[in-house]
Amino acid sequence: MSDALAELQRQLADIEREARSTLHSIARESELVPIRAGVLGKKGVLSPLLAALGKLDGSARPAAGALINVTKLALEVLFEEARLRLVQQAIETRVATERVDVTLPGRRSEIGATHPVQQVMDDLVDLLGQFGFDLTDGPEVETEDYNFNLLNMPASHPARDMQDTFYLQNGLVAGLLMRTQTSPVQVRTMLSQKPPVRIIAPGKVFRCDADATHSPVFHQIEGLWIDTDVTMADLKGTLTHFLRTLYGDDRPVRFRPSFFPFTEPSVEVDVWTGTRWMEVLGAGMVHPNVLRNVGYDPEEVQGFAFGLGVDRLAMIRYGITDIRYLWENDARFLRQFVAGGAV
Amino acid sequence: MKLSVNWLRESVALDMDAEEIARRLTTLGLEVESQVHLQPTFSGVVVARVLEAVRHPNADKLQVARVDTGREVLSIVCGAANCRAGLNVALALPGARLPGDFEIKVSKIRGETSHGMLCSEKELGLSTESEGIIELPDSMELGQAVAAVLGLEDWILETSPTANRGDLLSHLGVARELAAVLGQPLLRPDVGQGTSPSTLDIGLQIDAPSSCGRYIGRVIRGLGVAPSPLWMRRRLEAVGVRPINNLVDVTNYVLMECGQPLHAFDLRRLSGEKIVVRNAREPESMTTLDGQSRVLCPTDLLICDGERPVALAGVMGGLNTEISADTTDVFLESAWFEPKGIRATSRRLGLRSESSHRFERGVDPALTDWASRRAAALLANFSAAGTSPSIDPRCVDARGATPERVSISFRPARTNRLLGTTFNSGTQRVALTRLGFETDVQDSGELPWQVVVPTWRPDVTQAADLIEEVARYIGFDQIPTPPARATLSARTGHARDARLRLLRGLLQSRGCHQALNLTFVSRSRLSPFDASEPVALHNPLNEELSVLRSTLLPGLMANVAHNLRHGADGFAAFEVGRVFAAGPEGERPRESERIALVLCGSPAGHFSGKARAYDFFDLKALVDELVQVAVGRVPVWTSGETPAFLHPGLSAKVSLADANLGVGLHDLALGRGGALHPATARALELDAPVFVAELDLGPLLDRPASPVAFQDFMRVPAVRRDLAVIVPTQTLSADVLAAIRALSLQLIDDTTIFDIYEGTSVGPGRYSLGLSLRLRARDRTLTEDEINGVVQRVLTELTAKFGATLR
Repeated sequence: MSDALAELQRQLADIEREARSTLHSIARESELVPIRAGVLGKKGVLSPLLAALGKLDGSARPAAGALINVTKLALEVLFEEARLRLVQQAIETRVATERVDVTLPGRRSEIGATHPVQQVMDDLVDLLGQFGFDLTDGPEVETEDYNFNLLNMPASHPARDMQDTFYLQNGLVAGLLMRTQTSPVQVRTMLSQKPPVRIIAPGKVFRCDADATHSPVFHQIEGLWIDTDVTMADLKGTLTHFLRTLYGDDRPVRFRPSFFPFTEPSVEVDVWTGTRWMEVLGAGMVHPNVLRNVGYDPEEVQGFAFGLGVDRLAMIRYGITDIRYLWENDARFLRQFVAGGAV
Repeated sequence: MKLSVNWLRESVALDMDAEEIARRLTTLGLEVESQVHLQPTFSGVVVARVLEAVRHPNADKLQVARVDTGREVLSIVCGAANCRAGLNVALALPGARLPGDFEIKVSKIRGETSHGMLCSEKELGLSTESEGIIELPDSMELGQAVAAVLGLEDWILETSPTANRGDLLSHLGVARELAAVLGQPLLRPDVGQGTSPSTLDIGLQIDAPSSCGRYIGRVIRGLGVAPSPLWMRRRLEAVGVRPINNLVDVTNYVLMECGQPLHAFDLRRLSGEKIVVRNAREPESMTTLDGQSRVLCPTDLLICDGERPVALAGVMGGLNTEISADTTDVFLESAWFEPKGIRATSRRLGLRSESSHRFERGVDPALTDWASRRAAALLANFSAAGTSPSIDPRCVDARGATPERVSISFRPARTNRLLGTTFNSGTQRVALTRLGFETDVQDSGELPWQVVVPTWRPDVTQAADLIEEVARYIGFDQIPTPPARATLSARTGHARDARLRLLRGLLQSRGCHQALNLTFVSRSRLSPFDASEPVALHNPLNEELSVLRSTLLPGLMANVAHNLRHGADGFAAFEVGRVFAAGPEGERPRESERIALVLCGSPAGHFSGKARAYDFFDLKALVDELVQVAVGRVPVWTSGETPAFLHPGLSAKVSLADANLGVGLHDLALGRGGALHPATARALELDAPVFVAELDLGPLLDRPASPVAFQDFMRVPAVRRDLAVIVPTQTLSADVLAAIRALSLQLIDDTTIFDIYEGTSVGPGRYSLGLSLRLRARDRTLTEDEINGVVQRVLTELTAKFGATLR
């Protein structure tokens, strides 16, 4: 072996030793890049040795080249090992040091609640929608005709007393009122479409008999199904299924005769609470006069209508004791309904 | 109406307890709201007869009576002046318990042994004041419990008859329903029959025959006013009628018994020997029994004597002919009045009475004569002691128009088609017949029946009503309950509702609660938000709820104030609801649906960062997100056109630019949003800044957002270049971005604002706007020269347009 090769070997050994010791001393992966460049890069310590190969004898050149390549490979392995070690160390350090009190609160914002009356309304709309009742609505300011007369409730009938009515000031159009029921939507729908008709109409209704347990504004949902063959048995079947879904499968449901001017026969429907019967909705077979009023032939088509108060249902479902809570919009009240409540 | 079960039992045999009666009635459609058990407050008191009463040997004011209980004869010391031989009395035997937990014992009174006590009404708790001991009718059997013979143990059923069933406003009417379904006969007191031999010397003239179908007047003379017998007073009280005196009580008793309103005039106060039934004239007025002077109008029906009105027909009697303590002769009116007229008068005057309540629901025209005879007999029977009244056998009786008997064509098959049942025609006939309907007998094949409606059921006018009668009689529980049938529907309404739910859900996920406010507000709460004349209620409950809201904001502001007052740090909420604006003359109010939101105070904070308060940009973000979710585009905010309740510098009109035409004249106004004006906030006592927005819901919901047209995005990595330009203060960021967009440089993918800075380093009247350009080409990596070229173009444009300089 020539002196030159021996010298090269010594230099390479120094470089490798030096690199080993440097790599041993560093703690971060990011430090590795400049050090690697200083050794293996274009301007690294190996470069002059490679450049010097050309000055060697032709015979010594392959051996020298081989020596350098062996060292270079060894260095690359060293650097890769160091990198893996450092990555591993970094992970271990993070895992060992990073800690959080997981019981501290998350960086959350308040979740807004669906108003409980809305929740019940949504559930009713969904449930009835499944049967094929399409959702519709009508104006809250109504006329005597739609709210009463076409529903077989002329002013001379004592049934008018069942619903104390807010009238609008008799300024521009006479006889306007706040609808006392969602039933005018029945009339509007039947006047605008041919049977079969199967709709629900949820919305606000207004009565001027407010007291501790009544609000002058409350919510109803109305249902109507007219076809050639819709019977009172269908009324019972539909409403029984509806109420059992709402209140529980084992709840007894009672249909008892009642009176509404726009249905005949009329029923009120009670659900057994376990201790007493609770009235939950009114219904009946649509009165032939109403059918005639909208241009339907009662000999050809028949069907049922029903209506129920949503606010009371919400109060019962959620155990709300005072009707004022529904209208106060106190965040301490509303917040409790964030979880929602599907039927 | 309150019903006494004892009273019902007099008219129909009811082999069941009160609970079962209530259940039966409910099944028939007469809802029983409550059942109250009346119990006597004493026991051990029996009917006894005084055989002899002699002065107590040792006391002037006491007597010693020998009293027969039917089983034994007892010696009783009594202090009452009316204790006399032959009198039937209420005897409390030893061991009896009287009100106040007072037990009767055998005792010695001034040396005489008393084996019990003769009781007064007061001692038995039957009245608060009484004079002497109770005098019971001679007819009562000795030894019976007084509580039983007076009917003190009873059940009172509180019923709520439906508005169509005037016939259920009496005991006989309800008993008739029970008798029908139980297959029992109805027992009515016998009042005798036959025509009167001749007419009274009182002229009767019906000038309004369409309003008065029948009028019968009877005269009873020689009466004496006194309290009614105890049992009648107890019975009236039990059904909620205050006893007054025997004459008035009898008319009320017959009313509660059969449902026929009656009126007793003091005959001597009627003048002119004449009764005229006519409509009121104008002007005319009268004073009713309640002391109120009533101004009448020509639709009111009056009962007049020879000179003046003496009763508001069917509603209330007149003060001028009222029964008084010295009344001896009575003119007893029993009549049938047309329901609509009575209702109109009663409603117009706001005067409801037991009488008008029944007449407007329709009284059985067949009752007029029966009730008149029944009341006359009772009046004579219960006249004051010592009088010997006589019923004049004559009467006056005239007829106007009464409703004709209704005959309805009825097909049993129709019942089954409507109800979904298979009731055979025999069953249906039994049902109708038992309920008092007359059906012709031929039952041959296809011919419909002719069914005649009983006089007491004016509510039954067509076949559907008969079907209900059949169903009611057989029982609604006999109608099958098949599984619910579903049908397919277009679900267009549900689709719109689903879009609304999406918007609600978005706002809720951003921390807003859904609020619900009344549609009615006061003018003063509305006016800060809308100065125009609101739609007002004619009959508001109070001033606070007197007009229709034309904006949702007053309600939400009240909710904010409520929550702050109750210690909340902030409040974020929204409401969806209808608002109303007065329309042009001759048109209905305009009704539209809005969504409004309010942000006030601080959103929920976190320990890791500083708490912050809601500001304009929170509101803007919510509105933009809302509109984007609804229609797929972000709205345009334009300052300078907002109403006075908003802070002029911190508010904007919110509108939707036309998707094709861009921002400009075709913008669709959605609403407005911004900070509440400090003066408005102060007036509403809201200390913290409040941010509000209100948008029309129609444009957001009525049309579903057009389906998304996917555009491929460039996968070449983008280059980001930031530049900060200094521009005059009035320069709008939207204009700067629009100017850059207008350059239509294809390499600019997007421009965003990363910084706004105002300060001394940029000089007065100017601010620094940090813009971040994202650049890329579809097909290649951009060169540095290309990038610099684009940035230079932008800078040159901004300098030219806005006088921008590079910071």
